[in-house]
Amino acid sequence: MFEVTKALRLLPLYGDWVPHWVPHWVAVERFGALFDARHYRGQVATLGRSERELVSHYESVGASQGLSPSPLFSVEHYVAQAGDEAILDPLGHFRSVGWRQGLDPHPCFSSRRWLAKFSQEVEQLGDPVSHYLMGGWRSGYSPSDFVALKYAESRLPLMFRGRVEPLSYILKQMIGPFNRPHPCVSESHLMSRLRQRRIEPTPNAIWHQVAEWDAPWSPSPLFDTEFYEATYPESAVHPRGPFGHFLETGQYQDFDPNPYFNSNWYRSRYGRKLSGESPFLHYMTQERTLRFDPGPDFSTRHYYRSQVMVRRRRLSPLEHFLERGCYTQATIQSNSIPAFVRDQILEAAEFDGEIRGCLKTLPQLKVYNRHFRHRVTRLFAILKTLIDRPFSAVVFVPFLSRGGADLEAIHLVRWLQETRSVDDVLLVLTDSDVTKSLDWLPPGTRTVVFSHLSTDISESDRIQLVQLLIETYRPEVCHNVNSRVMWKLVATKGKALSLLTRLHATLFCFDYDAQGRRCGYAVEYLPQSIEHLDSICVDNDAFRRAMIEELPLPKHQAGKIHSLYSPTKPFGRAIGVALRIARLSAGKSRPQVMWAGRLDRQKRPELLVAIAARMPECDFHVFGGHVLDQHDPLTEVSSNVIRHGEYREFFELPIEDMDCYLYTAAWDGIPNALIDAMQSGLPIVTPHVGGISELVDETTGWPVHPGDDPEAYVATLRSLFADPQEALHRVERGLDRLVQQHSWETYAARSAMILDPVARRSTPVVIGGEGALVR
Amino acid sequence: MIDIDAVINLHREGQIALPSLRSASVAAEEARAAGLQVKLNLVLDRSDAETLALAEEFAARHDAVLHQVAYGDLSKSRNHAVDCSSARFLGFLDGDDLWSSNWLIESYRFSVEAGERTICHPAWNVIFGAKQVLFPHPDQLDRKFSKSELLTRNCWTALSFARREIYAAFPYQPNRLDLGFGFEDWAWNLVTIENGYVHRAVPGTTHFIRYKTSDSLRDRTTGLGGLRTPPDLDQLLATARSSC
Repeated sequence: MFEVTKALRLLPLYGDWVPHWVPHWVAVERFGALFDARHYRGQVATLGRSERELVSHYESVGASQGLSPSPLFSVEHYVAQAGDEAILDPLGHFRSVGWRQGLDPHPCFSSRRWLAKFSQEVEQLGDPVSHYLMGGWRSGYSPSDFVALKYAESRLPLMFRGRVEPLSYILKQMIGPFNRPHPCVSESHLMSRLRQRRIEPTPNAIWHQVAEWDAPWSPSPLFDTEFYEATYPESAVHPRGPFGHFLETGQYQDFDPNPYFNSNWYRSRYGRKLSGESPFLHYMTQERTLRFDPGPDFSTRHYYRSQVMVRRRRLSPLEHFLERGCYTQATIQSNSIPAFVRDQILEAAEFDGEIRGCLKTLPQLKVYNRHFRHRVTRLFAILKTLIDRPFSAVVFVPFLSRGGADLEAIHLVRWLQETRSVDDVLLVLTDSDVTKSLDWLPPGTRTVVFSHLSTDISESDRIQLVQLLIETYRPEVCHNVNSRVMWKLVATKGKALSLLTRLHATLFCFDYDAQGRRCGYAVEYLPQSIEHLDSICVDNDAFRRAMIEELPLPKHQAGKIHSLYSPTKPFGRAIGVALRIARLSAGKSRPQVMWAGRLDRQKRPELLVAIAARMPECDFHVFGGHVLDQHDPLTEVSSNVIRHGEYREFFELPIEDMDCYLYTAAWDGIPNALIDAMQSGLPIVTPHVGGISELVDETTGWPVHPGDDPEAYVATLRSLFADPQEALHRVERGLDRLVQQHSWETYAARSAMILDPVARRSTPVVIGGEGALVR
Repeated sequence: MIDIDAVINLHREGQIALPSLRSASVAAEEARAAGLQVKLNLVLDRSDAETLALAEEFAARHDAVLHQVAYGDLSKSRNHAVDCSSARFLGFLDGDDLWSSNWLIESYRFSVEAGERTICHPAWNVIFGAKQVLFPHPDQLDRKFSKSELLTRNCWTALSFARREIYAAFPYQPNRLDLGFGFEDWAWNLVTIENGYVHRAVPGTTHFIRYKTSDSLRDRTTGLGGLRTPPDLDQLLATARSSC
């Protein structure tokens, strides 16, 4: 036994066979203990195993390349404080002058804090981190406010406790409930914050976020900001907010981080066992022994026994309750009915026979859990901190992909910003965290993403969040561009909501399920919602007419549906028209056909495959990926189909090399891809579905009849390639059509007429012939 | 001066009202035994003949005051009782629910001790009838109580006890189920908290709330998917009318 213990003690210093996550620092005069061979080797895996080789590599190459010599030395963090003078040799800079200037080597290590405690010892060893690593950690003193060393050590496997320096051990691994330097570091909260700030979760970003926690909401379920601020009002004015106050002061002075932890009670009950530690850190360190309770209302043992997941995964009972249990009716102590309630039931039973019934079932009576909380309340509190100031218009979208509906939403945001102010408009992504087209938004657009509030939000929570947002902020107008969450809310509570705000919606076309049945928002929600909506905009007149004629809508509501053509992109332009016509006229090269869009059922990529198989003399370039459907429709295609994958922006595609644009959708409104293609000067071949005929007709393109026959497409494409001069004429007329029908000015004027109640009252809306208004 | 006006709101409860009235008279007796002046008030809103007859008989036997109104709205009936009252305190009971016998005296003592801005609720509710549940009321001063919870759920029933001035200053807003607004008790709890009043649970007291298979107000409110009535509903309606 002695031999094993002795060998383990030597582990961190000598064994080359030691697992990779055990720190292995090399004492070099120049670096003190700040060179960890194993850590460094992880970044330059191609190097040999020799420590000398690693040190030499760091000295000659690694330092200037910004490689980290130790888990406790973050080059990025250090250089951000020290400036350019430290770029070439950050470690040398820290060792020579940095620590004396109070610069920190890592977000988890405060030089000043360490020096305040061990100034003399540090001088002898050259820098505070070396002193910490070479034995200072054994003092139990923490190098930072959010490193609780005893707690961190309790996270280590039993065999390493007291033998391995805990902070480096933790920093070398992924952050998690069993691997964190302080109980108030929550992986899920951290990741949510990083997603909100659109920061990649690199180790440095994670630890930096912990150290510089800047959100007004809590970084951990264990810290209840609202409670802490209300209980300790002085924390509200702390420069780093209530959580900063707790780290700096509260955790050492018996301040309670949440209402379920009662430091006074804990000290009075377990005072003799604290041995200098604060009650909260002592409890969190000892919690897994199940011998301590955080307060009089919470039985650690009861919770541990009643929660299978906590037991199975050995999670913290208190943290689990505050993060999940309180939202799921979990009990924190055995329910007992007070004696006076029993007596009073007996008394009331004399008046009422039905109460007598309660007496019989009293032991089994369900007791409502007074500790139950609605999760959406916490989510809304976070949302409020992200919104932080009022707005008068809000646009709800499900997500921001790179499709037509997304572009439509962005046009709407831009118009609202132009008519109000950039700051007065809020864009809310309600259904998912897809944010691909954020770069399409005007700079400064205020955006919130519900999915960034937490990793798992139910649809009912999302619906309630929208409701609370409207009830609390009372925006003048709410626009819904394809948000299912918003449609569901309006369908059930639209009547009341329409008194708090003006509700508008944008629709595009009917959808069809796999069995060919009509579906989509217009079918599912519009009939029961239209009464509460101020207006419904559609991007083509054919759909407007179809809805009025075919949906069971009250007749007097039909006037609320308006067509509003999408505008062209401000940066879009005709590209390579003359060269294309010359190329087609010469007839020497293979025609290049462009197909760009979602590879989903609606767009009929299988039709493209059939056309390509019949036209071996052409190349078909496919741009786009599948969004809604899971299967890949282009697994077996002829060799003249060339896939290019997803694209960011139509006008970034090699338009000048293409000879025409082919569209094959089964149903649609007026797709933005067609507007883009027309704006780019490409001849267009398309079926006449939905509202497409309002853009592409025999004068502006090549409509295909019937639209599901590959042979009809083949014939149309061949006739296009055979008459380049006609192609030029139709392209020119197409560009004229766009100017008349799809300019920003037309869009803005029409939007004002539909969406601005003052403008609407003064302008008669022509029902049944709206297309004429903008032609 | 009357110390407590105990208000029992009746509609068309019929025989079901009897246990409620009895519990109210017992609670009133207990308070009187402690030296308080308690007056029982029966507010009958569009009630039927059976309920009226029963109420009249009860009023005659217990020296209670009968108010017949035709609002068809519980909020307005409660407000009516407040307007008619000159007592220091008021306590409300619905015609199918019951008080524990110590409710009036204990909430009076608690109110006097806790201060003028206190609104009392029983510590426990026993839901009985079609559904049987024990429901403890939170105390606003409990450190575990979070005010933000009130955004998403109502924490207290409408059967409160408080100084008359509070009810007079914050009358119940009538439900407008036709517009999708309801939950008059939730709205009242919120508005009083926003104005600095404190909702407390009186230790050792219980209310008995009858849960019927079908409750017209409850069913209509939840069935309509209503919102909590906003305090400025009248203003909103005026704005909506002017923009039409």
